[in-house]
Amino acid sequence: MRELRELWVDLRSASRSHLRVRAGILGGALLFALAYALAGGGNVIAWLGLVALGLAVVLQPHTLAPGLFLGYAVASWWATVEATWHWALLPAALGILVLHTAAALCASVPAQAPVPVTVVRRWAERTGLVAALTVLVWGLAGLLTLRPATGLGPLPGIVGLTLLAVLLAAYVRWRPTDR
Amino acid sequence: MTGRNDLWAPTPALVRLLTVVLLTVPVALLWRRPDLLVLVAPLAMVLVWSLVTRPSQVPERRFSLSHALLREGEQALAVVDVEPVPDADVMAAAVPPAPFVSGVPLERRREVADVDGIDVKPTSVVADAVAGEAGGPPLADGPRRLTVGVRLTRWGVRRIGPVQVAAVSPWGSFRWGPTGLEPLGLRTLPQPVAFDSAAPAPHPRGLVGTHRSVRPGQGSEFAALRPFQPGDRLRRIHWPRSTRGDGTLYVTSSYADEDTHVAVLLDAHYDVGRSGGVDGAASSLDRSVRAAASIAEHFLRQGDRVSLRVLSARTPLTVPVGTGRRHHVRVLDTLSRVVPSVSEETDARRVHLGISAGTLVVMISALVSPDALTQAATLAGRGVSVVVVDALVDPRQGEVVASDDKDPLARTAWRIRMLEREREVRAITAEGVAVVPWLGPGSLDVVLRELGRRGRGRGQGRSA
Repeated sequence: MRELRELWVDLRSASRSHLRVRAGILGGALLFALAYALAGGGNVIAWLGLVALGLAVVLQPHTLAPGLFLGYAVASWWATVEATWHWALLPAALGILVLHTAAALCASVPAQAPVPVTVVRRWAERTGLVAALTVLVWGLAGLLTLRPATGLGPLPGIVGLTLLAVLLAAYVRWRPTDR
Repeated sequence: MTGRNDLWAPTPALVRLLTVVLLTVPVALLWRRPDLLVLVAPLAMVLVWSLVTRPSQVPERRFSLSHALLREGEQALAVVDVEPVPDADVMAAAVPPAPFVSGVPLERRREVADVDGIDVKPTSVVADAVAGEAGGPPLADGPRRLTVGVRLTRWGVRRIGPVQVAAVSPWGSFRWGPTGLEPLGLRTLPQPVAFDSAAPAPHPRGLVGTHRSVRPGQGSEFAALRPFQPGDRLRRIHWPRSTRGDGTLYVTSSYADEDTHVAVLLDAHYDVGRSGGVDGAASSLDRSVRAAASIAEHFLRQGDRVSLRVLSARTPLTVPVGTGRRHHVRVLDTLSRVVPSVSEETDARRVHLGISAGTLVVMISALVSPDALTQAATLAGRGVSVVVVDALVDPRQGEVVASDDKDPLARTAWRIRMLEREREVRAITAEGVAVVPWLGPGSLDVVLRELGRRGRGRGQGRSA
């Protein structure tokens, strides 16, 4: 009980910029829950469970809570969403991305210290870049699912994802720096 | 200070990326669910990005303070310089909470109390390891400076640190630290409380100072007009009187200005009460130290000579007689190093305090230990003017604060001790030692006037 109260004090004493980042966690969780519901997965209890887990991540982003949320989210999708491709996959993936990024930033800095604007901007730009690539993956997956390559199964998707990952790694390694 | 945190290590964020991606991909392949691959695609990208940008170098860091000396209630900066390393993204530093060291908020914020009811003060800072300050241009190569504002709320040598410093890589996937930097001590001088005595110090003896002497000499206060004598300065000729008379030149004579030696004795055997710092309640030692600082400042400003002696087993400090602004800082610096400690073996009557006749002794004490009273009585017996300032009296209430101990026996013991104390004070007053409570401005006026009158009376008696 004392630990929970300490977490609450930590949240109440957090700086405004830090609170905004924590609001991003909740935004990501709500986005995923909404997309999950629109994709026809789960029921009210599952959606409320996601929101509750999202609130737990807001309260303690530096603990296991974000991992639990991600695990629960992917498992719920797998168990209850029938379609192998749905337009709501995109907001769901973006919700997961936003939640993870905001939780990682919150866990990286002391809650009471204001987060510099340049840091928030750079993290937002990175998230935007990964989100753009996710849109690409989502589009390709849609194409492959709607026009399946006979006999290949998910192999094209795996190859495409690996190729994207390699390209991203190459970009990150040799990107021009501002220093 | 190095330790096992002095390296780049994976964070829980990286572990959860790895776990989710490595568990989901086989499931997606085995169950032919490409949607799961899309779902974890952003996490996979973040994972690759994180692994590619893993930092390898440990940053060099240095900790310093913006000030070496402060007054209580003032602020200083804890400065941490960290050399940026490739792929470090965000840096943070935090000063751990310490007694009478509070953080200075960087933005307007509401007061929040922690689980123990203590106000949470921000003592941490975050800096961009890549770019410069918000909106500013990128920094040139060089250390990134993290500054944490701290406010010192009580006199003494305050420990700042060990400062914890940490950095994370992009996406917060690898973290260096938090690693502690050696703490530094910051000397905090007591804040003199309002004190303004209009009464002169008794028994001025020196040749310089602001107190008027009974002897004529170089000074600023007018004494009389007298005929010119060889050796008088021409600028002292009083021309209006000289031109009116019989042709004799008259000069203005003045009284000599003198100073006095004020010996401040600080009884630091006990610290009774709980100190709330400069903004809160004061303990008896708080009142003693601040009163000593005020008295020393007052007399030094008048041009008198002041010495200080601290009566404590742990810090038996002494400042010899001196005057001037630098001497004032020396006195305050010594006061900031006072640590209360009782000396059980001391025979107060045998302690040699190096005080000669004509010195004004101001003893500041909570009068809890009989030692201080015995010393005051011994000095008064030698014919020294002694004023005892009672530091146990709360200036706001004008009396000794009752014990708030929960134990009824402890409260009873306190009452009994206070009754004994009253008896001891009455006894010492009967021996000619003035005991006054410390009540701020003008506390010593009545006593100093009384001592001065007594001194003059004795002087006139001797001359007659």
